[in-house]
Amino acid sequence: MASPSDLLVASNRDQITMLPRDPKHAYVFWEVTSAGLADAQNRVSNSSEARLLCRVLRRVIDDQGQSVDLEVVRFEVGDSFDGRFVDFSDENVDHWAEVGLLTAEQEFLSIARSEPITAPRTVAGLDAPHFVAVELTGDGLVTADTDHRHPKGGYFPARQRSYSGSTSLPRRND
Amino acid sequence: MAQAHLSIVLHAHLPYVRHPEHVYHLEENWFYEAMHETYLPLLQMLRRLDAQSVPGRLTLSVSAPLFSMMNDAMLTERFNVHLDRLIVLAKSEIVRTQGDDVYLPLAHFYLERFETMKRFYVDELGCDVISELRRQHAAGRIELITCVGTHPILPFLATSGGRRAQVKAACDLFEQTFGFRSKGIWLAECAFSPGMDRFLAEEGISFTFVEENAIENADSKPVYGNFAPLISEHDVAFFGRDQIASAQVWSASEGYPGDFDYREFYRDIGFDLELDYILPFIHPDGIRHNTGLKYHRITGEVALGDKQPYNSELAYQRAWDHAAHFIDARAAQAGELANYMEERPVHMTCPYDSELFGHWWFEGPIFLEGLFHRAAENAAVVMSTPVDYLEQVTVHQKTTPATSTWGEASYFNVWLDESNAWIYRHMRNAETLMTELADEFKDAEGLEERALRQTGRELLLAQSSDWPFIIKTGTTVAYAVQRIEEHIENIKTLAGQIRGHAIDEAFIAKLEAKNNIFPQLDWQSWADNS
Repeated sequence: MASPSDLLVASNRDQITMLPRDPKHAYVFWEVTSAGLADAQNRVSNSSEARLLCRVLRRVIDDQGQSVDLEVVRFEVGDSFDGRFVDFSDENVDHWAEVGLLTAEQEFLSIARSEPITAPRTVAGLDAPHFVAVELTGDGLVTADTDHRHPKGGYFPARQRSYSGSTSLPRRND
Repeated sequence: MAQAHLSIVLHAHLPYVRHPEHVYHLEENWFYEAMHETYLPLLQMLRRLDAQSVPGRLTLSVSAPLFSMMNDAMLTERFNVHLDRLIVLAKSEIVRTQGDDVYLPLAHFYLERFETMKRFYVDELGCDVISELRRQHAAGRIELITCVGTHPILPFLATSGGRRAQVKAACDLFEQTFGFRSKGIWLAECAFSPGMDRFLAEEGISFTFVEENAIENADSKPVYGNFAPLISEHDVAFFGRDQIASAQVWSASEGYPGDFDYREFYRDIGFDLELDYILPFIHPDGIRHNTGLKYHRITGEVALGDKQPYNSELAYQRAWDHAAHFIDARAAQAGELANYMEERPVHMTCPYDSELFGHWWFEGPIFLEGLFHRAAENAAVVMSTPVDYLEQVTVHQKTTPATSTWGEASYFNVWLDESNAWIYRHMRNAETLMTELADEFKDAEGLEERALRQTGRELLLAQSSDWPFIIKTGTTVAYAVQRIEEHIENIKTLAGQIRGHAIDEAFIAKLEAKNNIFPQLDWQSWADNS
């Protein structure tokens, strides 16, 4: 069986991607070209001490209402292309990954940055209920706003979301 | 209390396992087995319901790879040979089991079954499953819908153009094959994340299905729980899988299919009998595999060698009992739920892989038939479809479901784990390459256009969720890896030829003959990355 590297379709670009797996974990994989690495090294005064690093960040709003980027995890990158699973820190904020060089002075020079993603949500959002009138047409659904409200304005109690009776017949075991 | 809608949704899909390069290809058997164990028995069941005027409808999604194989002349011919081989095997078994009071009746059971299947397929359907599906849809027995392209994990694709291409390819081929536009779509693995609905809406899709947690964790709390659809941002209705009802059928440990009277899947004469005897009915190289003749029932938690003989009449009755239990449980469930639904009827969504019925659970088609009969006797429940519900109930909550899939943990855990994560780098690079080609050569015609179209086909085939699933479950890993390698290698070669203005027509023709799905593929879909 060929190794994954034998299969690679050369993208010829520096890139890093973050895919959500579940509310707790994402998969990060990167590709650093020799040109991209050389370019980053040229920006460093002492490139021999710089290390190729991947880091995951999240964006939060601080007490003053300013957005702040916080590092969730960082790890050294042995190969110019590889991947690993990382933890999400919070399901409701943007996360992204960067690959780059960490200089001896602890400065991070980014080579590639992923699109931001959020972890799959595990509770419903807080949007107010909104209803639409729906018509099934040959070109899809057509909707129109309506002032419909749930008569009780309420929700399913959690215990009523499941059937409380037995779920299966006893097995024959003779 | 309003009559509850029970939507049974069968999702029929197999990866594209057409191999003209070999006279006998092991993985093609997946198609033949599913044909005679699931798809044809389901069609027979639907005809029996019609003949007995039993009311009710169900939803059937058929993926493009599957209906393309059903519609393929070479596979049709090979399936006929497969059926003939089964008939010869059953006759041989009648000779071998002469004088055996236990196994001889089972050999006769299979001979009758295979001969009936052959007559049904050849004489009644004219080897044309597509027309029968079209007829059943037109008659209103089934709501026939499509599935996203080659069954990719849509949220894992890299580009808007790539997502658009997968959805459009399926909708277009469905219309070309069945003569009408599909109203609904099955999301492969129920994989959804916000924003995917835009690509469905662009193709006129009105409804689809997601896991229960996608509904419960929507942007706004669902006021009707999981028992009415949500309308997403881009105006697609999302129906959530009812996990309680689903588990009764799905669960290997608690569900009906594990009943001790049902046929044991894992014991087959392809593995039991002497190699010299069984060789004409398995792979010519002597690779043993299932033949479809299985003589034992599940029996209990015992070793395969200790399984007891199968009793088809007992199992048939059991399936009928389980169907009655299922419908009665749904009626009771609907009664409990009605208090919280206010003015609207309950909608219960019960989706299953169709191959469960007949292939994995031999008596499954009988169970489905029993559902229709029992529901006809129960005023509380009607066998319905999302179309029926959307036509009856015309006001719905508008909010977008959350990211989820079906399967383990209801997230992407099966299709993205340590074993298979490596594939996504190559998939996404190949997809990006295709979008670049579609953009660079947007005015292509002639041979260049053929090369671009074939590149698109190879990409679609590589993106099937079947490959990471197989790698994860460890079943036929070498085949899955080989398929990924082969398609990506073809993409690389084609891209090199297109960009080098040196297209090898013989190479294109060879690929067109082998990977011939989506004959009129709109490769320009990849160029539209809006």
